[in-house]
Amino acid sequence: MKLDRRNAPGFLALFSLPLIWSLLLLIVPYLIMISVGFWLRKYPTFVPDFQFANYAQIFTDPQYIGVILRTAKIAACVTVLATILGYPLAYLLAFTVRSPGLRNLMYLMVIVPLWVSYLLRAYTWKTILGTNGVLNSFLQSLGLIDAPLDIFLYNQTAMVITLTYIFIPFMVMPIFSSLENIPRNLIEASEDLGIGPFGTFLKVVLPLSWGGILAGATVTFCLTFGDFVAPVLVGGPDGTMIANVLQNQFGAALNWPLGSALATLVLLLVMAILWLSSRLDRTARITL
Amino acid sequence: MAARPIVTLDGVTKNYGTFRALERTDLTLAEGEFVTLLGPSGCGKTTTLRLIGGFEHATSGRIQIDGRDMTESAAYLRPVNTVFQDYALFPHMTVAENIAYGLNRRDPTVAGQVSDALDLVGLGALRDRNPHQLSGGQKQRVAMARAIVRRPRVLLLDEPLSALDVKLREGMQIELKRIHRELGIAFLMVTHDQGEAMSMSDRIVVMQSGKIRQIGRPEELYDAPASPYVADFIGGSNLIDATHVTRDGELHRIELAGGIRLQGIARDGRGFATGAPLVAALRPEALRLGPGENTIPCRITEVNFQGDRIRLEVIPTGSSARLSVQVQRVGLTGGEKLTHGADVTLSIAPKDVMLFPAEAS
Repeated sequence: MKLDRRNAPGFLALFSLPLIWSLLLLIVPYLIMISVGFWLRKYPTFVPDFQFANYAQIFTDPQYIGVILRTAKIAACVTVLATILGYPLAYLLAFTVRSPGLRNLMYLMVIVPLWVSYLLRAYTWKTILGTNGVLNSFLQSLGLIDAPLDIFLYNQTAMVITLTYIFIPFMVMPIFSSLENIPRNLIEASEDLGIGPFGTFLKVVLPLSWGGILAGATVTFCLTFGDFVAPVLVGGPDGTMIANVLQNQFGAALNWPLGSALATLVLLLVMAILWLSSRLDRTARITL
Repeated sequence: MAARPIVTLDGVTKNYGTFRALERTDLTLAEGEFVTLLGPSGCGKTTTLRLIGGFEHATSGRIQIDGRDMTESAAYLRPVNTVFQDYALFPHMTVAENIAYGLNRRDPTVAGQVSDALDLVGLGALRDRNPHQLSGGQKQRVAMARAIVRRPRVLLLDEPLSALDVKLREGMQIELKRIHRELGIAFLMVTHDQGEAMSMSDRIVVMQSGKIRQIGRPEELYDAPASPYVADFIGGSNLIDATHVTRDGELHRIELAGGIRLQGIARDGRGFATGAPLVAALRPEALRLGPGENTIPCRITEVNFQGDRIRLEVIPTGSSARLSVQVQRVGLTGGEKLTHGADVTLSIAPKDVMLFPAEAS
């Protein structure tokens, strides 16, 4: 970084605090985490070391790989479901709702849940899907079932539903902004050239909103991948995700070196996804 | 025009909420004709074009295209194509893909049609470029090629040259005329530039506040405007308040503020009541230096050198009206004193003093 000498004091005054902040609270912790991943566990504590036993354990013990694959599967399901539900909503907001007031109101309704505590929103689904929950009472009152069912809660489906609900705003927002940026005259040009509404959607709107879908999918996938609250609240015995295993290493299992190695691996996986996403975005990059 | 009508508007009205963009408009476009809709922004010219293109739908009235009623038809069903103001090229497609967009992909002749269209607009070498790699003029040509490749019955052009710089615009005017001649289809162009309209059109439709004010060939509009508005909008005119004095056959005698008397003519040989308020339209280029039939003594307030000509701003003696005068430098002897504050005598032929009833403005 080259600094204009005259501006250096001002520059330091302005940026030193944020720089120190991010150094101490972001960079240093990452470095600590990565190095602890190479430490040795000597019950009941850990000793600094540089060895790969922790990583060897992750890759040889099938339970870790299994949890990572399950986490990826759930994250993929949430991402697909959120896209299927979020895209039409974003489309509706961008194209169908003509009145700016109504559009702002609807957009606000999409993002307002983000202002409510995450725990509270996840807990809501426990009360909806639970044995004495809203869904069971409703079905009973309709006479469709005689006794409450316990099949709704504590399984992977409940987790996918809950996580989709929680993360769908992150899908709607980028898709909406990409749709809103499509010049309206491109849609008119398509129709002018004899292509009907469905063809216009496939050939113009969808390709031009690809960047928004990709951004939404990336954020949704990564957030779901690192989630540890939904598995605890609505996931069953087979609902454990990688973040829960990780958390456990720092708690009950008291194996920080293994936990750090796992955390480093998750970090690398998320970075790989971000890299893939930016590559896909670059190949599809369109100059409007 | 004896040619078959290709587009007919019959009493078309378009309202946006309480705003009336177009009011009971009748218009016919003949096969192969180049017609321009001309007017200031908000006059309804773009609305008219969008109604024909199918992007807006008429509040009342009928629109026929190629002999079929298309008032309610969607844009993609109409045999018309549009060159959009900012080109509206698809950014995720190459030039060739843009042009082939509206063609049936399974048709084996598509490649040939695209090449022909590119050749017609002189862009054969750029077929694999992306739109963002093109200059404004090149985008304009791609938009043209994309619109004409489907062989529409009418080509709609929405201010096609407004985004280009002046030099490019003149070249594209000639290009557009050539393409029009080669294709032989009707062109309907929207513009607010009267020079562009005059140099390109077979007929011009002058519009104002959602209504058609006059339709005619460019020279008809210039020589015989129907109102002071048209006289000013086409070619520019000095509009001066006057009072009617007497009539002598074709000629009317009028009096300007300050007691200056002039002779002029009225469109369609109409008459005026004595003392009736009038508006006289005097073209800057019709005013001449030196005395003549209609003499106006003036004082120069502004001298504007423009190369081949000089533009003067003058005030007639005893009046507060301002007149613009255009003097060809070729006709000057060199003895004239054209400076700020100097007195000059101007004259104008009676046939160039165009009279209108005052309420018509």
